[in-house]
Amino acid sequence: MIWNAENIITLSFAILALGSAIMMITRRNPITSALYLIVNFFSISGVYLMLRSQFVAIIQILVYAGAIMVLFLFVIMLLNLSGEKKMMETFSYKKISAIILGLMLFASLGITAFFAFFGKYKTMNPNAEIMGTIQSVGKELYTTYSFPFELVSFVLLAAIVGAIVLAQKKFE
Amino acid sequence: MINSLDFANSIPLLIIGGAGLVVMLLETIFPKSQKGTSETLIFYFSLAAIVAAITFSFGDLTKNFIIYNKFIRVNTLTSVLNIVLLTGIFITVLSSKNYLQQEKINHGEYYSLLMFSLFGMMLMGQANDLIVVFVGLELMSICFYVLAGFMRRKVESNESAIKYFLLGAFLTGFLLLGIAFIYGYTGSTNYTAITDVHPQKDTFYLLGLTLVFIAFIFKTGSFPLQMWIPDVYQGAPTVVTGMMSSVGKTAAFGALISFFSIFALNNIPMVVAMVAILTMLYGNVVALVQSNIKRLLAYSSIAHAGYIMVGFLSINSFSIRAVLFYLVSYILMQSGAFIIISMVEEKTGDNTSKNTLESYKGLGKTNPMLSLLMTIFLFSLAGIPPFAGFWGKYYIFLSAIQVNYLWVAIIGILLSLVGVYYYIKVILYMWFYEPVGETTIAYRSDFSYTAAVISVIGLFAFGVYPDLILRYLRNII
Amino acid sequence: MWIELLISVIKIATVLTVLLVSVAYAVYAERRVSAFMQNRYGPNRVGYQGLLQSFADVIKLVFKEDIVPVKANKPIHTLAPMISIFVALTTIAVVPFGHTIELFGRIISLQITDVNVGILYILALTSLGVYGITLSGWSSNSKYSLFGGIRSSAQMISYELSMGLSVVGIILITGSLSLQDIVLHQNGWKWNLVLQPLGFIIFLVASFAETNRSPFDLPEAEPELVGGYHTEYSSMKFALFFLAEYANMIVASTVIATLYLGGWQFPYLQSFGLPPMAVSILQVLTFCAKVAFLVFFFIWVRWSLPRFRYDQLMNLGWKVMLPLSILNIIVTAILVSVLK
Repeated sequence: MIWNAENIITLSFAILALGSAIMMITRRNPITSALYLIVNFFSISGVYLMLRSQFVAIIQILVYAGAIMVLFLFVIMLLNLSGEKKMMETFSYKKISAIILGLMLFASLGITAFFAFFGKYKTMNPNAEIMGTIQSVGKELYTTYSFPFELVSFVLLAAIVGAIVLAQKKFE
Repeated sequence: MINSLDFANSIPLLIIGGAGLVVMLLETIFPKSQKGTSETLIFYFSLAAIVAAITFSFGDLTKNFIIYNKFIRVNTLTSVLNIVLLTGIFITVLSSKNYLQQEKINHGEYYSLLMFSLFGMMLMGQANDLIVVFVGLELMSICFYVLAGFMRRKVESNESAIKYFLLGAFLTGFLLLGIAFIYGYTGSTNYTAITDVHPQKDTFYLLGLTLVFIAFIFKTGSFPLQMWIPDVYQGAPTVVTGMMSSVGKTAAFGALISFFSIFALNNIPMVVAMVAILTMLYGNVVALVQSNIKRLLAYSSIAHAGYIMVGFLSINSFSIRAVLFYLVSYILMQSGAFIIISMVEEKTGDNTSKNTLESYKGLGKTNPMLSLLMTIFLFSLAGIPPFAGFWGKYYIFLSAIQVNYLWVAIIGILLSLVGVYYYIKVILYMWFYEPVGETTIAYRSDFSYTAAVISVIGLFAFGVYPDLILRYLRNII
Repeated sequence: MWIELLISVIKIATVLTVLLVSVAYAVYAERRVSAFMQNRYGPNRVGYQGLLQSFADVIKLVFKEDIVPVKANKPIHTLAPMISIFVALTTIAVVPFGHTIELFGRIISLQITDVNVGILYILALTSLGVYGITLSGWSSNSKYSLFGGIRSSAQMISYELSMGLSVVGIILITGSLSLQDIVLHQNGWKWNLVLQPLGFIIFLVASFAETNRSPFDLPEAEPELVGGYHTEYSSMKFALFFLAEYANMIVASTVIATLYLGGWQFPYLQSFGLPPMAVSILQVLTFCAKVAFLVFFFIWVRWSLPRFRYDQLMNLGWKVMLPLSILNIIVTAILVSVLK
C-alpha cells in the first residue's frame, strides 16, 4: 500500500466506519446507537467518494442518513424507550452460540476476501471516474437495466399496498 | 433496447403484471357501499387473467428466446413452470372467495397482492439474471408477508407475518451478499454472461454460490432453515397457507433448477444429499406427533421439500423432468388439502380456528364428499397409486438411482413409508371414528368445491396417465 | 496546488463571513420590516437606525448563563445546535454567486466548488437539517420540545419529497445536476421561473416548510409549544439555533435564486459590451439583489399569513404538493421530449 493522501483518507474513513459500527452495537441508549449508525453511513459515503462514486455517495447520505434514519429516530422517540436496561440482556447459551456462529461467518468471509483480494488491485480503474457519475449511472439504468428497474417499481407498489393493508386504521 | 419482440414473447408475464395493477384500480370503481360488487368483479377478472395467461403459456412451450436485454428467458422449462404456477394460483383464487367472505377479510387488495406475488414467482422462474431472481423473490416474499398477516384482527396471523418477515428479510441479506460475490468474481450477474466466463473454482465465487444456495434453502423450507415453516403456516389464513406451501415452494424450486443448471452445481451431491435426507427425516418424524392439522401438513411440506431436493443431486434432463412432475402433483395435492382444511375449520368461542385433528373424527359420516376429497389428497401426498403423487416420488427416486445414489433413494423411500403413518391416521379419523360432538362445516362454497375437484381430477389423470405431463417435458434439455 | 488551496480557503472564508454578516442583517431586516408592517418603530437605537442591534444581541446572548435541564441528555443537547448550524452553513458550498472573475491573471470561478451532483448535495444536506431540530427536541427531555421535534421531522420528511421532485423538472430541462450549468442554461429570458412556473411555486412552498418558516413554523409554534424544540435552550446554544434559522432562510433564498431566478444572470448583459471585470461584479450584485428580494419575501410572508394547523399542513404536503410535483415532472418530460 502506498501512503499517499488519498489512501490515508480512504483508510481513515474505513476505520471510522468500523469504529462507529462497533459503537453502534454496544451503546445502551437506542438514540445514541442510531446516531452512531448515521456516523457510520457518513463514513461509508466517504469511502464511496474516495472510490469516485459521487452518485452512490450522495445517495447514501440522502436516502439512508436523510430519510431512513430520520424515521428510525422518529419511531424511537414515539416509543420513548426510556428503560435502558431493555437494550441489554444477560448472556444465555443461545447468545453465546450466536456470537460464535457470527464470528465463524465473519472469519470465513474475511479469510476468503483476504485471499481473493490481497495485493491484487493496486491501481484504480481509469474508467472509475466516468462510471461513478450520475450521467453514466442514469444511462445504464435506463438502457441496459431498464427491465429490472421497472420491476423494482412493482416491489415498491406491493410494499405500499401491503403496508396500507396491514396498518391502516379503518380498513374494514 | 426493448423491442416489440420482447413483449410478444412475454405475454403471460405482461398479463399477470398488468392484472395486478388493474385489480387495484377495479377496487375503486364502485363506491364503498357496493364493496361486494367490486370484489366479485375482481374475482372473475383475476380468474380470466390467469386463464388467458395459461393459454398463452401453452403457446410459448416450443419457444427458446432470451429477451429484455438478456434478462428473461422463454423456453419449455419456464413455460411449464409458468403453467404450473398459474394453475396453482387459479386454484387458490377459486377457493379464496368464500373463505375471505366468511373470515370477513374480503378485500380487493388480497387479489392484487396474489397477482403481484404470482408475477414475482413467474419472474423467478423466467429469470436470466440474478438481479431478476432477487427482484422476483422480493416481490413474492413481500406479498407473502402481507398475505400471511391478512387477518389483521387475529394474533396468530400477525405472529405468522412478523416471524416470516423477520427471517425472510434476514435471509434476503444472504442472497444479496451471495449475488454480490458472484458479481465480484465473474463481473456480471447475467446467466448468459456467466456461462461465457466459465468460472473456475475460486473460493470467492464458491462462497457466493453457497450464500445464494442458503437463501434458497430457506425459501424452500429445507433442513437447517425450516423452523419458520410450522408457525408461519399455522397462523396464516388457510388458503394463503395452501398457496405459500405449494405455489411458493414451486417457484423457489423452479428458480433453483435454473440456478443449478447455469452454475453447473453437479459437484456438490453430498451437500444436497445431506440436506435432502435431513429434511425428509425432520419433516416426517416431527409430523408424527402433531395434533394440529395445519402443523401436520406444514411438517409434511418440509418432508416434500426433502423429496424434491433429492432431484437436485445431479441436475440433468431426467432429474429436471422428475422435479417438474413432482411439483405439478405437489401443487395440486397440497393446495387441495388446504382447501378442505379451510372448509372444515372449527371455530371456538372467540372465533379463533382450532384445526385440531379431533375435528376430523367422523367427518366421513357427517360429510362424505369432503372426506372423500381429503382422502384422495392425503393418499396422493403419501404417494399411493393411482394418484400423481406416486409417480412424482417414483421419478424423483429413479433420478437418484440413475446417478448412482441408490442409498439416498432407499432412505427416501423408507422415510416416505414413515410418512404414510400420519396421513393414514387422518384418514382413519375421518372414516373409522365416531363424530366428537357436533362437527360443523365452516362454510359451504361451490367455488372451493370446484377448485378441490379440479385438483382431484388432475391428480387422478396424471396418476393414471403420466404421459399427459411428460410429453410437454420432453423438450427440456 | 498550494495556490489553489489558498484560493479555496479565501473563497470559503469570504463566503462564510458574508453569510454570517447577512444573517445578522436578516434578523435586523425582519425586525424592521415587521415593525413597518405593524406600524411601529422596531429597533432604531443601537447604531445608526439600529444597524448594530443584532451584534448587541449576540454579545448579550454569549454572556448569558448556559442552562441545561437536569434530565437532559447532555452530549446530544450540545450536539443538536451544532448540527443545525453546520447544515445551514455548508449548503452554500455549491451555490454559484457569480460566473468567473479574473484576478492577478488567474481565472477564478465564483463558487466554492462545482460538484457534479450539486442539487443532490443540497437535498442531502437539507434532509440532514432535521436532525438538529429532532435531537434538540428529544434531548431536552421536555414534552414541548419533543412535540416540536416530532412535528418537525414529520413535516420535513413530507415536504422534502415534493421539493426533490419539483427540481426534477429543472434537471430535465438542463440535463445536468451542477448548479453552475443550471445557471448558465438560464440565459436571456429563459429563467426557470418562466419555464417551470408550477415547479417554482412548489419549490418555494417546500422551502418555507423546510426552513420551518411561517406559515409552516409548527415546530416552534409559540402559542401551543412555548418555543418548540428550543424551549430548553439558552445562551450561545440558543443563539446558534437562531443563527441557523436565518442562515437557512438566506441559503434557501440563494438556492431558489440559483434554480429559478437565473442565479447571477443579468438578462442580456453581454449585449452591453462592458469590460469583463465590470460584468463579473455586476453579476455578483445581481445575485445579491435577487437573494435580498427573496429574503424580504420570506419576511413579508411571515408577517402576512397565519400559521397552518397540523392536519392542514400534512394534507397540503401529501395530497396537493406531491401530486402536483409529479404532474409537473410528467408535463415537463413530455414537453422536453417533444420540443427536442
